[in-house]
Amino acid sequence: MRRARFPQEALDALTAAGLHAVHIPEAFGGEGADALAAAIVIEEVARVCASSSLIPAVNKLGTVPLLLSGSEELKRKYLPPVARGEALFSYALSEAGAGSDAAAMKTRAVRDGDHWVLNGTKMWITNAGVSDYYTVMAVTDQGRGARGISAFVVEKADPGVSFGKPEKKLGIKGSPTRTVILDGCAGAGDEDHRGRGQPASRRRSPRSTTPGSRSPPRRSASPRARLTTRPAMCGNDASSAKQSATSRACSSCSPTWR
Amino acid sequence: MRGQGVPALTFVSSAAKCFASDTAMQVTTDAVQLLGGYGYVRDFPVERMMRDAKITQIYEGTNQIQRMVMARQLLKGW
Repeated sequence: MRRARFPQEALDALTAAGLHAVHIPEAFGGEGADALAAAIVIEEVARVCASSSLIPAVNKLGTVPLLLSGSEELKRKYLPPVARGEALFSYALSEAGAGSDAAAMKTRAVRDGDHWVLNGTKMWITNAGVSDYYTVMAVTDQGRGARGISAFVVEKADPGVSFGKPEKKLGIKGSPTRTVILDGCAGAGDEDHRGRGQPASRRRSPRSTTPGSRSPPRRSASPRARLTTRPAMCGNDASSAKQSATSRACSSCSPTWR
Repeated sequence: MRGQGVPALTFVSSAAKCFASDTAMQVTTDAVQLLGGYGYVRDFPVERMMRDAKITQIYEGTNQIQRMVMARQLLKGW
């Protein structure tokens, strides 16, 4: 039976080992790992389960915009829960008509008095529904193309936030991919908490996130290759002394692979 | 490392993403081929590795986009 469920035991094991979001600076309760260390963590997890490797990878992807250009207040509010393993952080850029051409996005953030209101539908969002926090890209200045896009923090529990059904995918089935629907929801800003201030990152192209965050997914690609060339290292032999909690979690996405 | 400017970072990032994910796809596809029926059936992990590898060519900027980014950087003389 294939359930394509989220590998909760992998998240628990990663959190217990402090490996779920190593990139978060020590000032916010994290491990303070640099890009290389974070990439190694993701790579090692991907050796046994690509779906599980998206936990540290997407935690980084979602929080990098905040680290790059969020206010101190926003960082203090949203980074420590991720560092403690209490919340995952997803990244919401793509839309039905804006995948590679991110600048074509339709999601809008409009100022309403002293806060911002977000409307739009984000697609292919990794770990959506599981993550508590989302970095959402939205157009704040039409006519400026990619430069008119800002980043906001949205919470799963916010009014106006809902999710589509999990996509049925070819691979990485243990990592839920859903649409994220924003219907008049308030995006978190700089000077105040949710819905009461400036966007987390004003007028920055979504690409500005990508150079730093591109490395985790890239790293997760290489162990796929390594795993196949060294099948003895896959760690999924139940009798293997090397079996880790993470490798056991593989059964969630491929129960027959024991 | 953190906060440090790296020359050609844009090019190198795109190149690494592209290279690693294309390699993952090539190696897993070859592995399925090498193992024949055993590579193709779900009783063994190799078909799954091939399926898992595919997304890495698609997400975080498709490899086609990465090639455009690299080309643009080259034309700019990085």
